Amino acid sequence: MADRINHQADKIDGLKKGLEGSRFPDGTASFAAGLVTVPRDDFAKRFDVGVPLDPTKPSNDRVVLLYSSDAALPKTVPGMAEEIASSGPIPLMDDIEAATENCDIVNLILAQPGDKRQCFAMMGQFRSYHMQKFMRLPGGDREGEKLDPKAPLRLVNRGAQTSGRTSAKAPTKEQTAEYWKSLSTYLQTLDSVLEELKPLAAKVAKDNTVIVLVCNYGQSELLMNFVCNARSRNIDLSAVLVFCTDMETKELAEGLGLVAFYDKENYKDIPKEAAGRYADRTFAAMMMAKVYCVQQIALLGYDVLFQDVDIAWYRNPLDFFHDKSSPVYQHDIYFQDDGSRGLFYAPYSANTGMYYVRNNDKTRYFFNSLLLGGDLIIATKSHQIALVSLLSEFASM
Amino acid sequence: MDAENALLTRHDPLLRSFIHSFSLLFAIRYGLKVKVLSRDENDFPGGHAYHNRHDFMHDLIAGKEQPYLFHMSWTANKDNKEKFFRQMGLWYLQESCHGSTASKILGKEEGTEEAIEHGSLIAPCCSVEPIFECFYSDKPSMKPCKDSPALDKGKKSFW
Repeated sequence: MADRINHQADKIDGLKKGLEGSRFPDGTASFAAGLVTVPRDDFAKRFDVGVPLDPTKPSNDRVVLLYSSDAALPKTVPGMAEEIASSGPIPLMDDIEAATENCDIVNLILAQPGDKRQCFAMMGQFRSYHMQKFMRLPGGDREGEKLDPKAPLRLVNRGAQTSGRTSAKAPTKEQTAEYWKSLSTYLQTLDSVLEELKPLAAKVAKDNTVIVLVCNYGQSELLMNFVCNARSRNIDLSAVLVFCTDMETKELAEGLGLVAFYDKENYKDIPKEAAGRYADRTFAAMMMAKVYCVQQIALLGYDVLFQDVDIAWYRNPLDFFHDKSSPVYQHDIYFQDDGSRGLFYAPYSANTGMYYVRNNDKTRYFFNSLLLGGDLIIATKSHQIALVSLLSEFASM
Repeated sequence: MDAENALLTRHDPLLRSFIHSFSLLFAIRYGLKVKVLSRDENDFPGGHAYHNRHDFMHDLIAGKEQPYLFHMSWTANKDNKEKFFRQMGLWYLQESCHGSTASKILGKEEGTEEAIEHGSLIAPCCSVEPIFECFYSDKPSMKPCKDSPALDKGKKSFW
């Protein structure tokens, strides 16, 4: 009994001493003054950055909040500022607003839970909104080999994986030249194409939204099924504009009652056959068509619901995006979650087979930029990788 | 822009000017508000749900869930997409219209200038009821496909 009492007394003394001392040394005083944890669900709701949230688990149900100076510490809860700044146990605050009441800026780092041997460093320096990553990947003549715990940490790109893959391919000079040739044709014909598109977009637009699909002959059964499926449910398809990359598909689309557009100059090199597999040559060519059509409709001033043809509707998705009472209405761009958590899709995992875009300067410039970076689509054979990497640059919320 | 790349655009002032403004502005952050509709929510499911969320797929088939759409992503090619759609009861395209041009479906001579009438393919091509067929026992299907082979080795039947 006496031992237990002594132990408790020691503990209290320890806590007291802890409270007396600062958690951080003077050497970090200009950027680290205290720590608190707050509930993850509440934090994510309050500070929504648009990423698809992983489920909250017991080992990941709090967020660590680091205060940069005494001025940022919360003052409303009596004694809390002292506890946060002390070297005692890190306190929990349930009230997100109170915890951040003196934070004029919150910088958020998304840390992959479950990565057991990762560390985070914070260094006082001119601000950066990108994370720099170091890994124990062998360099020099062992470049490309898998992670070696004995290798020195070295600066790598964000897509570097433990397997040694870098998940990024900068376009080669040839790929850029090949793309710029197409881009040159595209830009030279843009005015005339927009003139041709203008009445079609005006005809189909519903509440200023055009539903855009792009299809070649090889995928036309999926387009036809999309139409037949929607018709069986009496869903209105009058807002659909199909960008057909060959005349056969245009005839099929019009035969199914859709409004269709064929751009002879820019689609002439796109193969008619279906892609054999994800990321093959036909797939890559179709990716560029996916960029062109959305950029053009955005330039005409319309909101866009873009979707691949391998989709079946149960209800009209425009009802979701046009619902002004929705808590997520105030976003510029929405994507379906791809579901894959591959490093090259981080942090959004956006699937570019279904997305909705509200027309404004930001989104138009976003799609203009995607167009200009089209050589990355050629290099990676993926519209999705190029778009996701651009999203991070544009969002930075 | 390096000298070699500049060569690519020297004959195209529009492209050159476009790329110049792109380079200047790229470093600026725009505050684009992005929302990704989570794979764990039920309004916009896709391949992740089809292959991994079988409880949700059962609810969808039972009509307990009513998403806006279903995206047959995570599927390597068109053939498998069609098979998955068929066994999910989401395939409505008549066999007679499969892999055919509009002219062939309507019995017109190929290469003629005769226009395809707007909407003329709906009646011959669109089934009113889903065209169901089993392919894989381990993948979601609107009716049990227990007698079909598994697509993924060792996977249990969906039903």
